[in-house]
Amino acid sequence: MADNTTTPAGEQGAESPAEIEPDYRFTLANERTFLAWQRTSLGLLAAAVAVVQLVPQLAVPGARRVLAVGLAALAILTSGMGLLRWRQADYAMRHGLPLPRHPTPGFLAVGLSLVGVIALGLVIAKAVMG
Amino acid sequence: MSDTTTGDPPDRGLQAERTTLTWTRTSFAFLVNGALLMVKNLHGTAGPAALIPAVLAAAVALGTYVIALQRQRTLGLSPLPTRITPRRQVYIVGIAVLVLIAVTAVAQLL
Repeated sequence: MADNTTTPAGEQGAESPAEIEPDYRFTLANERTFLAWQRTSLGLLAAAVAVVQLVPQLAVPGARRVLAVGLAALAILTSGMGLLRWRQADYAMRHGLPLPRHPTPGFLAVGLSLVGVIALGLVIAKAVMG
Repeated sequence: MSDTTTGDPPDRGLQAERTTLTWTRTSFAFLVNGALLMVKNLHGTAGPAALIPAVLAAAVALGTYVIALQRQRTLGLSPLPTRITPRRQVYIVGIAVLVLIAVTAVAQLL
């Protein structure tokens, strides 16, 4: 993913070094997308804190911590990816390149599904074991 | 798309408003995290060090709100400045989120 930001500079440099100032609506849309990623990250962080602070002891000891660490790791990835995507989209718009395509939303969905499955498993375990 | 829109009056108001509201919403998201980090302190054990993550979250929320006000002023200008990319602000918020996650993780999970 880091390649995307570094390679075009070398290829495009000779042909079109001048930056195009993109349409303000695209700049603003990119900005809003970035902030949406950051809010998603903050939501995940809030979930991690809530799991540690507010959820009573689960059936499996230490499960709360595992869940919270997983959520915090997902929060870091989401925030970092949001920043990276903003930079890549900004670069692409300024140089007239196609917008980079990312599998990031897919990763986030897989991570959230995993958290959901683990949480469901813990709830069922608690119900079965009393 | 950009050449078709040069003639007709662009819908400046909505774009600027939506973007400003997005900044405000992000500021509240920081504030919610700060509030959540205070929950434990309400139940006793309140050392001054335990307040660090909550205070950090509140400070970042305030900073984001100030950026929202700045953006509102910038995007309300007519004509709009040619360069409105908020590069510095984006980096500030992105790094602030990462730092808040790190500090929270150290305080709560370790």
